[in-house]
Amino acid sequence: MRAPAGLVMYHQSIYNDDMKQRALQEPAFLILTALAAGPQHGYGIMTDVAGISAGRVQLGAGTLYAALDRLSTGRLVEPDREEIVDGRLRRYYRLTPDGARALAAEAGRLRANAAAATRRLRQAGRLAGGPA
Amino acid sequence: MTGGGPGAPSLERGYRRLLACYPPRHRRARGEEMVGVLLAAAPAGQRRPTGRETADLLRGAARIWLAPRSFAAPARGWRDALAVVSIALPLIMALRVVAETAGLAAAIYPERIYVSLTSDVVSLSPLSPGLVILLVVLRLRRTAAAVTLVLTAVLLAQAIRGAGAGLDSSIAFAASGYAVETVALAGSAGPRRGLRLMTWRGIAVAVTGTLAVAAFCAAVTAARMPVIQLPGARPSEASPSLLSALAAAAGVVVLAAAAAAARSGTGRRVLVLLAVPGCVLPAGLLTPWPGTGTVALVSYLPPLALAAGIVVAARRAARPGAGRAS
Repeated sequence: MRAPAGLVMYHQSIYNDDMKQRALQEPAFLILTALAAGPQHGYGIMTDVAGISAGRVQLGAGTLYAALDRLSTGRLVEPDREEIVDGRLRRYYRLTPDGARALAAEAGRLRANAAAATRRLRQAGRLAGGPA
Repeated sequence: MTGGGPGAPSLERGYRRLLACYPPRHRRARGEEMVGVLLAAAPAGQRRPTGRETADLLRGAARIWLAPRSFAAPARGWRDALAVVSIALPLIMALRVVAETAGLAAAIYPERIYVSLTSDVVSLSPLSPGLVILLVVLRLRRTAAAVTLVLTAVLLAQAIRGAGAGLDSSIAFAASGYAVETVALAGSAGPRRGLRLMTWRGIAVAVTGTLAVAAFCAAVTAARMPVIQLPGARPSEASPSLLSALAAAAGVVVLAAAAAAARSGTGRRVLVLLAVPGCVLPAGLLTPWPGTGTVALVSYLPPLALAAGIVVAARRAARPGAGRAS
Protein backbone atom coordinates (compact mmCIF):
# COMPACT_ATOMS: atom_id res chain seq x y z
CA MET A 1 0.00 0.00 0.00
CA ARG A 2 1.12 3.50 -0.83
CA ALA A 3 2.25 5.78 1.96
CA PRO A 4 -0.73 7.33 3.77
CA ALA A 5 -1.79 10.73 2.54
CA GLY A 6 -4.64 13.13 2.98
CA LEU A 7 -7.31 12.75 5.56
CA VAL A 8 -6.71 9.23 6.80
CA MET A 9 -4.01 6.72 7.51
CA TYR A 10 -4.50 2.99 7.17
CA HIS A 11 -3.30 0.48 9.72
CA GLN A 12 -4.44 -3.08 9.07
CA SER A 13 -3.29 -4.25 12.50
CA ILE A 14 -5.61 -1.81 14.27
CA TYR A 15 -8.65 -3.09 12.42
CA ASN A 16 -8.98 -6.30 14.37
CA ASP A 17 -7.55 -5.38 17.75
CA ASP A 18 -10.86 -5.84 19.53
CA MET A 19 -11.43 -9.24 17.94
CA LYS A 20 -8.04 -10.56 18.95
CA GLN A 21 -8.08 -9.23 22.51
CA ARG A 22 -11.59 -10.40 23.39
CA ALA A 23 -12.12 -13.86 24.89
CA LEU A 24 -13.34 -16.35 22.30
CA GLN A 25 -16.79 -17.85 22.71
CA GLU A 26 -16.89 -21.63 22.90
CA PRO A 27 -18.13 -22.27 19.33
CA ALA A 28 -15.41 -19.98 17.95
CA PHE A 29 -12.78 -21.65 20.13
CA LEU A 30 -13.84 -25.12 18.97
CA ILE A 31 -13.95 -24.05 15.30
CA LEU A 32 -10.41 -22.66 15.54
CA THR A 33 -9.34 -25.87 17.31
CA ALA A 34 -10.86 -27.94 14.49
CA LEU A 35 -9.01 -25.86 11.88
CA ALA A 36 -5.72 -26.02 13.81
CA ALA A 37 -5.11 -29.50 12.36
CA GLY A 38 -5.62 -28.31 8.78
CA PRO A 39 -8.18 -26.83 6.38
CA GLN A 40 -11.70 -28.23 6.60
CA HIS A 41 -15.06 -27.58 4.93
CA GLY A 42 -18.21 -26.58 6.81
CA TYR A 43 -19.63 -30.07 7.35
CA GLY A 44 -16.16 -31.34 8.34
CA ILE A 45 -15.88 -28.59 10.97
CA MET A 46 -19.31 -29.50 12.38
CA THR A 47 -18.45 -33.16 12.81
CA ASP A 48 -14.94 -32.38 14.11
CA VAL A 49 -16.29 -29.96 16.74
CA ALA A 50 -18.73 -32.65 17.93
CA GLY A 51 -15.78 -35.04 18.22
CA ILE A 52 -13.49 -32.56 20.02
CA SER A 53 -16.20 -31.76 22.57
CA ALA A 54 -17.08 -35.45 23.00
CA GLY A 55 -20.55 -34.77 21.58
CA ARG A 56 -21.33 -31.97 24.04
CA VAL A 57 -21.34 -29.24 21.38
CA GLN A 58 -23.37 -29.93 18.22
CA LEU A 59 -22.95 -26.91 15.97
CA GLY A 60 -25.89 -26.10 13.72
CA ALA A 61 -25.22 -24.55 10.32
CA GLY A 62 -26.61 -21.20 11.50
CA THR A 63 -24.26 -21.06 14.48
CA LEU A 64 -21.32 -22.33 12.42
CA TYR A 65 -21.67 -19.74 9.67
CA ALA A 66 -22.39 -16.86 12.06
CA ALA A 67 -19.15 -17.80 13.85
CA LEU A 68 -17.24 -18.23 10.56
CA ASP A 69 -18.53 -14.83 9.42
CA ARG A 70 -17.24 -13.21 12.59
CA LEU A 71 -13.93 -15.08 12.50
CA SER A 72 -13.43 -14.13 8.84
CA THR A 73 -14.12 -10.49 9.63
CA GLY A 74 -11.52 -10.69 12.39
CA ARG A 75 -9.14 -12.38 9.93
CA LEU A 76 -8.73 -15.37 12.23
CA VAL A 77 -9.85 -17.77 9.48
CA GLU A 78 -9.89 -17.47 5.70
CA PRO A 79 -11.10 -19.51 2.73
CA ASP A 80 -8.55 -22.10 1.61
CA ARG A 81 -10.05 -23.58 -1.55
CA GLU A 82 -13.36 -24.58 -3.13
CA GLU A 83 -14.54 -27.87 -4.56
CA ILE A 84 -17.72 -29.02 -6.27
CA VAL A 85 -18.82 -32.38 -4.85
CA ASP A 86 -22.04 -33.99 -6.13
CA GLY A 87 -22.96 -30.65 -7.69
CA ARG A 88 -22.62 -28.84 -4.35
CA LEU A 89 -20.14 -26.11 -3.49
CA ARG A 90 -17.77 -27.10 -0.74
CA ARG A 91 -15.52 -24.35 0.63
CA TYR A 92 -12.56 -25.16 2.84
CA TYR A 93 -11.40 -22.80 5.58
CA ARG A 94 -8.00 -22.52 7.19
CA LEU A 95 -6.55 -20.90 10.27
CA THR A 96 -4.62 -17.68 9.64
CA PRO A 97 -1.44 -16.83 11.59
CA ASP A 98 -3.56 -14.38 13.62
CA GLY A 99 -6.09 -17.15 14.22
CA ALA A 100 -3.35 -19.46 15.48
CA ARG A 101 -2.11 -16.74 17.84
CA ALA A 102 -5.64 -16.06 19.10
CA LEU A 103 -6.24 -19.79 19.67
CA ALA A 104 -2.92 -20.17 21.52
CA ALA A 105 -3.71 -17.12 23.68
CA GLU A 106 -7.18 -18.44 24.49
CA ALA A 107 -5.82 -21.91 25.28
CA GLY A 108 -3.29 -20.29 27.64
CA ARG A 109 -6.01 -18.25 29.30
CA LEU A 110 -8.23 -21.31 29.78
CA ARG A 111 -5.25 -23.31 31.08
CA ALA A 112 -4.43 -20.58 33.62
CA ASN A 113 -8.08 -20.38 34.73
CA ALA A 114 -8.30 -24.15 35.07
CA ALA A 115 -5.05 -24.23 37.06
CA ALA A 116 -6.35 -21.51 39.40
CA ALA A 117 -9.64 -23.38 39.90
CA THR A 118 -7.83 -26.63 40.57
CA ARG A 119 -5.47 -24.94 43.05
CA ARG A 120 -8.33 -23.33 44.99
CA LEU A 121 -10.34 -26.55 45.11
CA ARG A 122 -7.28 -28.45 46.29
CA GLN A 123 -6.61 -25.89 49.01
CA ALA A 124 -10.23 -26.19 50.14
CA GLY A 125 -9.99 -29.98 50.08
CA ARG A 126 -12.88 -30.22 47.62
CA LEU A 127 -11.05 -31.69 44.68
CA ALA A 128 -11.75 -35.36 44.19
CA GLY A 129 -8.43 -37.18 44.59
CA GLY A 130 -6.79 -34.18 46.30
CA PRO A 131 -5.54 -33.91 49.89
CA ALA A 132 -8.31 -33.87 52.47
CA MET B 1 -22.69 -37.34 4.48
CA THR B 2 -26.21 -38.48 3.90
CA GLY B 3 -27.44 -35.97 1.35
CA GLY B 4 -31.04 -35.82 2.49
CA GLY B 5 -32.38 -38.83 0.55
CA PRO B 6 -35.69 -38.89 -1.33
CA GLY B 7 -37.11 -35.92 0.54
CA ALA B 8 -34.18 -33.72 -0.52
CA PRO B 9 -35.98 -31.37 -3.01
CA SER B 10 -38.59 -30.25 -0.47
CA LEU B 11 -35.97 -30.19 2.26
CA GLU B 12 -33.71 -28.01 0.09
CA ARG B 13 -36.63 -25.65 -0.59
CA GLY B 14 -37.25 -25.41 3.15
CA TYR B 15 -33.62 -24.57 3.83
CA ARG B 16 -33.59 -21.97 1.05
CA ARG B 17 -36.72 -20.34 2.49
CA LEU B 18 -34.94 -20.03 5.84
CA LEU B 19 -31.77 -18.73 4.20
CA ALA B 20 -33.88 -15.93 2.69
CA CYS B 21 -33.75 -14.42 6.19
CA TYR B 22 -30.01 -13.81 5.80
CA PRO B 23 -28.53 -10.55 4.46
CA PRO B 24 -28.30 -10.64 0.64
CA ARG B 25 -24.53 -10.17 0.84
CA HIS B 26 -24.25 -13.27 3.03
CA ARG B 27 -26.59 -15.31 0.83
CA ARG B 28 -24.53 -14.46 -2.25
CA ALA B 29 -21.26 -15.37 -0.55
CA ARG B 30 -22.27 -18.45 1.45
CA GLY B 31 -25.83 -19.44 0.53
CA GLU B 32 -25.02 -22.39 -1.74
CA GLU B 33 -22.31 -23.57 0.64
CA MET B 34 -24.76 -23.51 3.57
CA VAL B 35 -27.40 -25.44 1.63
CA GLY B 36 -24.75 -28.08 0.91
CA VAL B 37 -23.78 -28.32 4.58
CA LEU B 38 -27.40 -28.45 5.75
CA LEU B 39 -28.27 -31.23 3.28
CA ALA B 40 -25.12 -33.12 4.20
CA ALA B 41 -25.98 -32.95 7.90
CA ALA B 42 -29.64 -33.96 7.42
CA PRO B 43 -30.48 -37.60 8.13
CA ALA B 44 -31.77 -39.66 5.21
CA GLY B 45 -35.49 -39.25 4.65
CA GLN B 46 -35.83 -35.89 6.34
CA ARG B 47 -38.41 -33.88 4.41
CA ARG B 48 -38.36 -30.47 6.05
CA PRO B 49 -36.13 -28.45 8.39
CA THR B 50 -36.51 -29.44 12.03
CA GLY B 51 -37.51 -26.95 14.70
CA ARG B 52 -33.97 -26.95 16.03
CA GLU B 53 -32.51 -26.24 12.59
CA THR B 54 -35.05 -23.48 12.01
CA ALA B 55 -34.23 -21.82 15.34
CA ASP B 56 -30.49 -22.18 14.71
CA LEU B 57 -30.70 -20.66 11.22
CA LEU B 58 -32.90 -17.78 12.37
CA ARG B 59 -30.54 -17.10 15.29
CA GLY B 60 -27.57 -17.18 12.92
CA ALA B 61 -29.34 -14.79 10.52
CA ALA B 62 -30.08 -12.38 13.38
CA ARG B 63 -26.44 -12.45 14.49
CA ILE B 64 -25.19 -11.65 11.01
CA TRP B 65 -27.78 -8.91 10.47
CA LEU B 66 -26.89 -7.34 13.83
CA ALA B 67 -23.15 -7.53 13.28
CA PRO B 68 -21.96 -3.90 12.93
CA ARG B 69 -20.71 -4.28 9.38
CA SER B 70 -24.07 -5.61 8.18
CA PHE B 71 -25.85 -2.61 9.64
CA ALA B 72 -23.73 -0.11 7.80
CA ALA B 73 -21.22 -0.72 5.07
CA PRO B 74 -19.38 -4.01 4.83
CA ALA B 75 -16.65 -2.53 2.65
CA ARG B 76 -13.60 -1.58 4.68
CA GLY B 77 -13.36 1.94 3.23
CA TRP B 78 -16.89 2.82 4.34
CA ARG B 79 -16.39 1.23 7.76
CA ASP B 80 -13.25 3.29 8.25
CA ALA B 81 -15.02 6.42 7.06
CA LEU B 82 -17.85 5.78 9.52
CA ALA B 83 -15.29 5.31 12.31
CA VAL B 84 -13.79 8.74 11.56
CA VAL B 85 -17.26 10.30 11.32
CA SER B 86 -18.30 8.76 14.67
CA ILE B 87 -15.77 10.93 16.48
CA ALA B 88 -15.54 13.89 14.07
CA LEU B 89 -19.25 14.63 13.63
CA PRO B 90 -20.19 15.41 17.28
CA LEU B 91 -17.11 17.64 17.50
CA ILE B 92 -18.13 19.42 14.28
CA MET B 93 -21.72 19.81 15.53
CA ALA B 94 -20.56 21.31 18.82
CA LEU B 95 -18.11 23.63 17.05
CA ARG B 96 -20.75 24.72 14.54
CA VAL B 97 -23.26 25.59 17.30
CA VAL B 98 -20.66 27.60 19.24
CA ALA B 99 -19.36 29.36 16.10
CA GLU B 100 -22.81 30.14 14.70
CA THR B 101 -24.09 31.43 18.05
CA ALA B 102 -20.99 33.62 18.36
CA GLY B 103 -21.51 34.83 14.78
CA LEU B 104 -25.17 35.64 15.49
CA ALA B 105 -24.24 37.47 18.67
CA ALA B 106 -21.70 39.52 16.69
CA ALA B 107 -24.35 40.31 14.07
CA ILE B 108 -26.89 41.64 16.54
CA TYR B 109 -27.15 45.38 16.23
CA PRO B 110 -27.81 47.30 19.43
CA GLU B 111 -31.20 48.42 18.19
CA ARG B 112 -32.44 44.94 17.28
CA ILE B 113 -33.63 42.17 19.54
CA TYR B 114 -33.79 38.70 18.14
CA VAL B 115 -36.61 36.46 19.20
CA SER B 116 -36.83 32.68 19.23
CA LEU B 117 -33.07 32.41 19.08
CA THR B 118 -32.91 29.99 21.97
CA SER B 119 -36.31 28.38 21.57
CA ASP B 120 -34.78 25.23 20.18
CA VAL B 121 -32.34 23.99 22.80
CA VAL B 122 -31.72 20.64 21.15
CA SER B 123 -30.46 21.89 17.80
CA LEU B 124 -28.94 25.14 19.05
CA SER B 125 -27.26 24.03 22.25
CA PRO B 126 -23.74 22.60 22.35
CA LEU B 127 -24.92 20.44 25.26
CA SER B 128 -26.40 17.73 23.02
CA PRO B 129 -23.25 17.07 20.94
CA GLY B 130 -21.29 17.60 24.18
CA LEU B 131 -23.20 14.72 25.80
CA VAL B 132 -22.46 12.49 22.81
CA ILE B 133 -18.76 13.42 22.96
CA LEU B 134 -18.69 12.64 26.71
CA LEU B 135 -20.28 9.22 26.17
CA VAL B 136 -17.83 8.49 23.35
CA VAL B 137 -14.88 9.50 25.57
CA LEU B 138 -16.23 7.22 28.32
CA ARG B 139 -16.34 4.43 25.70
CA LEU B 140 -20.10 4.04 26.11
CA ARG B 141 -20.61 3.61 22.38
CA ARG B 142 -23.98 1.83 22.52
CA THR B 143 -25.35 4.37 25.00
CA ALA B 144 -24.12 7.17 22.74
CA ALA B 145 -25.84 5.52 19.75
CA ALA B 146 -29.09 5.24 21.74
CA VAL B 147 -28.83 8.92 22.73
CA THR B 148 -28.24 10.07 19.15
CA LEU B 149 -31.17 7.93 17.99
CA VAL B 150 -33.44 9.59 20.56
CA LEU B 151 -32.14 13.06 19.59
CA THR B 152 -32.88 12.29 15.93
CA ALA B 153 -36.43 11.24 16.79
CA VAL B 154 -37.01 14.34 18.95
CA LEU B 155 -35.75 16.68 16.24
CA LEU B 156 -37.73 14.96 13.50
CA ALA B 157 -40.89 15.20 15.61
CA GLN B 158 -40.13 18.88 16.12
CA ALA B 159 -39.65 19.41 12.38
CA ILE B 160 -42.88 17.59 11.53
CA ARG B 161 -44.77 19.74 14.03
CA GLY B 162 -43.27 22.78 12.32
CA ALA B 163 -42.13 24.10 15.67
CA GLY B 164 -38.77 25.25 14.48
CA ALA B 165 -39.56 28.92 14.94
CA GLY B 166 -37.77 29.72 11.70
CA LEU B 167 -34.66 27.68 12.55
CA ASP B 168 -35.58 24.81 10.25
CA SER B 169 -32.15 24.40 8.69
CA SER B 170 -30.60 24.17 12.17
CA ILE B 171 -33.05 21.47 13.19
CA ALA B 172 -32.63 19.62 9.90
CA PHE B 173 -28.84 19.81 10.25
CA ALA B 174 -28.94 18.47 13.82
CA ALA B 175 -31.47 15.73 12.95
CA SER B 176 -29.44 14.59 9.92
CA GLY B 177 -26.23 14.84 11.92
CA TYR B 178 -27.51 12.68 14.78
CA ALA B 179 -28.94 10.16 12.29
CA VAL B 180 -25.54 9.84 10.58
CA GLU B 181 -23.85 9.66 14.00
CA THR B 182 -26.16 6.81 15.04
CA VAL B 183 -25.20 4.84 11.93
CA ALA B 184 -21.51 5.71 12.41
CA LEU B 185 -21.49 4.56 16.06
CA ALA B 186 -23.39 1.35 15.33
CA GLY B 187 -21.82 0.50 12.00
CA SER B 188 -18.10 1.03 12.46
CA ALA B 189 -15.23 -0.20 14.59
CA GLY B 190 -15.87 2.89 16.72
CA PRO B 191 -14.42 6.26 17.68
CA ARG B 192 -11.13 4.75 18.91
CA ARG B 193 -10.31 3.57 15.42
CA GLY B 194 -11.60 6.85 14.01
CA LEU B 195 -9.20 8.78 16.24
CA ARG B 196 -6.29 6.66 15.03
CA LEU B 197 -7.24 7.31 11.41
CA MET B 198 -7.55 11.07 11.77
CA THR B 199 -4.67 13.30 10.80
CA TRP B 200 -3.89 16.91 11.65
CA ARG B 201 -4.53 17.79 8.02
CA GLY B 202 -8.02 16.29 8.18
CA ILE B 203 -8.76 18.03 11.48
CA ALA B 204 -7.63 21.37 9.98
CA VAL B 205 -9.93 20.88 6.95
CA ALA B 206 -12.88 19.98 9.21
CA VAL B 207 -12.36 22.94 11.56
CA THR B 208 -11.88 25.43 8.71
CA GLY B 209 -14.91 24.13 6.81
CA THR B 210 -17.13 24.17 9.91
CA LEU B 211 -16.11 27.71 10.86
CA ALA B 212 -16.67 28.96 7.29
CA VAL B 213 -20.12 27.38 7.01
CA ALA B 214 -21.09 28.55 10.51
CA ALA B 215 -20.03 32.14 9.74
CA PHE B 216 -22.09 32.29 6.55
CA CYS B 217 -25.08 30.61 8.22
CA ALA B 218 -24.90 33.12 11.06
CA ALA B 219 -24.87 36.01 8.58
CA VAL B 220 -27.84 34.66 6.65
CA THR B 221 -29.80 33.74 9.77
CA ALA B 222 -29.17 37.20 11.23
CA ALA B 223 -30.68 38.77 8.12
CA ARG B 224 -33.70 36.45 8.14
CA MET B 225 -34.47 36.21 11.85
CA PRO B 226 -37.68 37.75 13.13
CA VAL B 227 -36.84 40.90 15.05
CA ILE B 228 -38.61 43.27 17.30
CA GLN B 229 -37.92 46.57 15.64
CA LEU B 230 -37.24 49.15 18.30
CA PRO B 231 -38.27 52.77 17.73
CA GLY B 232 -35.72 54.64 15.66
CA ALA B 233 -33.99 51.49 14.44
CA ARG B 234 -32.92 51.24 10.83
CA PRO B 235 -34.30 48.28 8.85
CA SER B 236 -31.81 45.61 7.90
CA GLU B 237 -29.89 46.37 4.74
CA ALA B 238 -28.83 42.80 4.20
CA SER B 239 -30.43 40.92 1.34
CA PRO B 240 -31.41 37.39 2.42
CA SER B 241 -31.42 36.07 -1.13
CA LEU B 242 -27.90 37.37 -1.80
CA LEU B 243 -26.63 36.00 1.51
CA SER B 244 -28.31 32.66 0.82
CA ALA B 245 -26.59 32.42 -2.52
CA LEU B 246 -23.29 33.35 -0.90
CA ALA B 247 -23.81 30.71 1.79
CA ALA B 248 -24.57 28.05 -0.79
CA ALA B 249 -21.53 29.09 -2.84
CA ALA B 250 -19.35 29.05 0.28
CA GLY B 251 -20.57 25.57 1.12
CA VAL B 252 -19.74 24.31 -2.37
CA VAL B 253 -16.29 25.95 -2.28
CA VAL B 254 -15.51 24.51 1.16
CA LEU B 255 -16.61 21.00 0.14
CA ALA B 256 -14.70 21.21 -3.16
CA ALA B 257 -11.56 22.38 -1.34
CA ALA B 258 -11.96 19.63 1.25
CA ALA B 259 -12.50 17.01 -1.46
CA ALA B 260 -9.35 18.20 -3.21
CA ALA B 261 -7.46 18.04 0.09
CA ALA B 262 -8.59 14.47 0.80
CA ARG B 263 -6.33 12.28 -1.25
CA SER B 264 -7.46 8.90 0.02
CA GLY B 265 -10.66 7.03 -0.78
CA THR B 266 -11.63 6.84 2.88
CA GLY B 267 -11.05 10.58 3.27
CA ARG B 268 -13.41 11.27 0.38
CA ARG B 269 -15.98 8.92 1.91
CA VAL B 270 -15.72 10.84 5.19
CA LEU B 271 -16.52 14.04 3.31
CA VAL B 272 -19.49 12.45 1.57
CA LEU B 273 -20.85 11.24 4.92
CA LEU B 274 -20.33 14.66 6.51
CA ALA B 275 -22.08 16.23 3.52
CA VAL B 276 -25.33 14.44 4.53
CA PRO B 277 -26.01 16.90 7.37
CA GLY B 278 -23.86 19.57 5.68
CA CYS B 279 -25.99 19.85 2.55
CA VAL B 280 -28.99 20.74 4.71
CA LEU B 281 -27.60 24.16 5.54
CA PRO B 282 -27.46 25.80 2.10
CA ALA B 283 -30.61 23.94 1.02
CA GLY B 284 -32.45 25.04 4.15
CA LEU B 285 -31.30 28.61 3.83
CA LEU B 286 -32.54 28.77 0.25
CA THR B 287 -36.08 27.62 1.13
CA PRO B 288 -38.71 30.31 1.73
CA TRP B 289 -38.69 31.68 5.24
CA PRO B 290 -40.32 31.10 7.66
CA GLY B 291 -40.30 27.57 6.36
CA THR B 292 -42.55 25.63 8.66
CA GLY B 293 -44.65 22.60 7.79
CA THR B 294 -44.23 21.00 4.37
CA VAL B 295 -41.77 23.62 3.16
CA ALA B 296 -39.50 22.99 6.15
CA LEU B 297 -39.44 19.27 5.38
CA VAL B 298 -37.98 20.07 1.94
CA SER B 299 -34.72 20.62 3.85
CA TYR B 300 -34.59 16.87 4.46
CA LEU B 301 -34.67 15.91 0.79
CA PRO B 302 -30.98 16.59 -0.04
CA PRO B 303 -29.64 14.59 2.95
CA LEU B 304 -32.10 11.77 2.26
CA ALA B 305 -31.08 11.65 -1.41
CA LEU B 306 -27.38 11.71 -0.49
CA ALA B 307 -27.85 9.04 2.19
CA ALA B 308 -29.66 6.81 -0.33
CA GLY B 309 -26.77 7.30 -2.77
CA ILE B 310 -24.26 6.33 -0.06
CA VAL B 311 -26.19 3.15 0.77
CA VAL B 312 -26.24 2.18 -2.93
CA ALA B 313 -22.50 2.90 -3.28
CA ALA B 314 -21.68 0.96 -0.11
CA ARG B 315 -23.72 -2.04 -1.24
CA ARG B 316 -22.01 -2.03 -4.63
CA ALA B 317 -18.64 -1.86 -2.89
CA ALA B 318 -19.65 -4.84 -0.77
CA ARG B 319 -20.39 -7.12 -3.70
CA PRO B 320 -17.97 -10.00 -4.13
CA GLY B 321 -15.07 -8.92 -6.30
CA ALA B 322 -15.82 -5.23 -5.87
CA GLY B 323 -13.60 -4.73 -2.81
CA ARG B 324 -10.57 -2.55 -3.32
CA ALA B 325 -8.03 -1.21 -0.89
CA SER B 326 -8.62 2.47 -0.36
